[in-house]
Amino acid sequence: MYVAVKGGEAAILSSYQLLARQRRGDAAQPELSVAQIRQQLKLAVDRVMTEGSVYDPELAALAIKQAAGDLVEAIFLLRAYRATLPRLGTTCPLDTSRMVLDRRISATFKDLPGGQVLGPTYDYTQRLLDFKLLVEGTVTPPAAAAAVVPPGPTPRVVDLLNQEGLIETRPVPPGDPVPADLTREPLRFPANRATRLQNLARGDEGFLLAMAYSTQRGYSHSHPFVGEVRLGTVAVEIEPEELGFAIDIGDIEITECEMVNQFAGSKSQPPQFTRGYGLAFGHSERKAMAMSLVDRALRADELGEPVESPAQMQEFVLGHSDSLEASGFVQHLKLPHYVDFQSELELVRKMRAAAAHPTTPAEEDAA
Amino acid sequence: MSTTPLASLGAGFSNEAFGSQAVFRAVLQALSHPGRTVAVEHDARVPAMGHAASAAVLLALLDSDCTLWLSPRLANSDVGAWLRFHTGCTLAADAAQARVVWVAQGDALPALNRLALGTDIYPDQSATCVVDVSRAAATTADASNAWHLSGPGIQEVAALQVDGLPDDFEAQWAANHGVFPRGVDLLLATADHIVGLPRTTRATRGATALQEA
Repeated sequence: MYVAVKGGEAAILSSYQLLARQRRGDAAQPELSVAQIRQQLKLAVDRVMTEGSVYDPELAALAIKQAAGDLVEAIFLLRAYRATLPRLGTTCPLDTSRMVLDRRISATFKDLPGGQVLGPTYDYTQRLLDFKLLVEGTVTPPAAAAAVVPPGPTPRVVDLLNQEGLIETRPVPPGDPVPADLTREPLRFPANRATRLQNLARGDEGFLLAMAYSTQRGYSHSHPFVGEVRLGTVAVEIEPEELGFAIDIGDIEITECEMVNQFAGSKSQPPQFTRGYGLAFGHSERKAMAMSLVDRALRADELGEPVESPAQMQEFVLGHSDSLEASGFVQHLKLPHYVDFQSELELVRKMRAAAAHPTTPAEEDAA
Repeated sequence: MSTTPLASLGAGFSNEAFGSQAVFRAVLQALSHPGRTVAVEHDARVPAMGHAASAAVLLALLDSDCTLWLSPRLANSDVGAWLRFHTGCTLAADAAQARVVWVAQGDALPALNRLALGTDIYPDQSATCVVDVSRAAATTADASNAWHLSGPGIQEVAALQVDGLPDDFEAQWAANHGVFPRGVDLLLATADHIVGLPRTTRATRGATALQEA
């Protein structure tokens, strides 16, 4: 039972003021602009968009400013805002094979049509703190060079190089049902793959990273390879009924990961390579890769593999992946639990008294 | 698939929030006090086919998550296009698949036990039927052929004069009552009023219901 905090209104109003001061920090420092956050904390903005489930870099940047950099709090703000937005329709599925690529790499095939494009990445940096950045104006990136991007459609590596048919393909069957939407219906188990992927896309990056890591350390039997990681912009299209054809309503930047995993085969299927899939807004490779590893692990049931590790267990992974739910329940412990605790106190006292003065069974029966 | 030109569709509520809130309250009143005739006030430009009160109720309640089945007269009019445009609802070909059913005056009410009745765990995932009738008015208990309604929300008995329900409605409704918590809920609609018949309401015909056993 939660006791209402009486007389706390004044305290709460004070806490707003203290929070505002904490958020602003030293007033002698120039106020951070939302535009600056959007541009210079891009990767934070990308994470907030992905887990907040809203592709709006400005709103995500605003949420980060309001949350003073606490990304889980910013994601909460963005999700709350999302809940107020009217739903106008559903887009056509994104066609990532028509992505304008900024980065595209594969660990499975060296020579790709179109080549490997390293793009912007921390992968090859030395991870040494750059103290020049302590002072503004000392590091000026060179002007953008003309993009060296393969022209035309860019089919996925695993589709292109599957000559022997050893990598599974998943053509969309006719009459394939529209995926359920977790933001409209509760999660029920067993969840199908579309629902699992939606849950993972919205899931906390840290949690998914740890789950993915566990699959590599033996808590699963996958032997993963990055089939492809690609970063770039794709067109978002809708097909209004009055027109009868799709129209382009804008572009978004996304990161897509196809992970290729060995599958030893089952009674009904020959050994082959199976795929795990990850997708995130903006430049979010760690998230997309972690998602693809966990996606594959959660397919254990479908592929007839024994479900032995946490990453393979739907209820464990999908039930704990949402940062809002997790944070909410963990932090709710701060609410008054005075009556609960009183009853626990009484119980502990009784147990200690019983231990100090043990009664014989005859005395207990008489009591 | 031919589409109705948008220019010919009437406008919805002039203020979406207030308009739908007001209609929602009317439905709430109707279902909370079964048998009471509740006026539906709105300013939506409803289609010609079907009662205005029904159109306003569905405009307020439907959204893109809802499936709607229209009886033949309605299905052959621009009602479907109007509701789909304003609410984003989906039209169902089979009444059994729909969460909302709208029956025009003169069209047959589908058999209630064939509609979505919900499950024991989720009895609310059942159909709500809006039935256009020519008359649904409060009357005295001893009026001939009056419906006697009793149950939650009704003080003892409410008497209702209804023209437009099928002949076997009493039996169908008793069967619907019998599968509680599953079952369907009804809203009877005239041009500008609704009467609520939630599944908890018992409905019997004629003065015999009041005779002492």
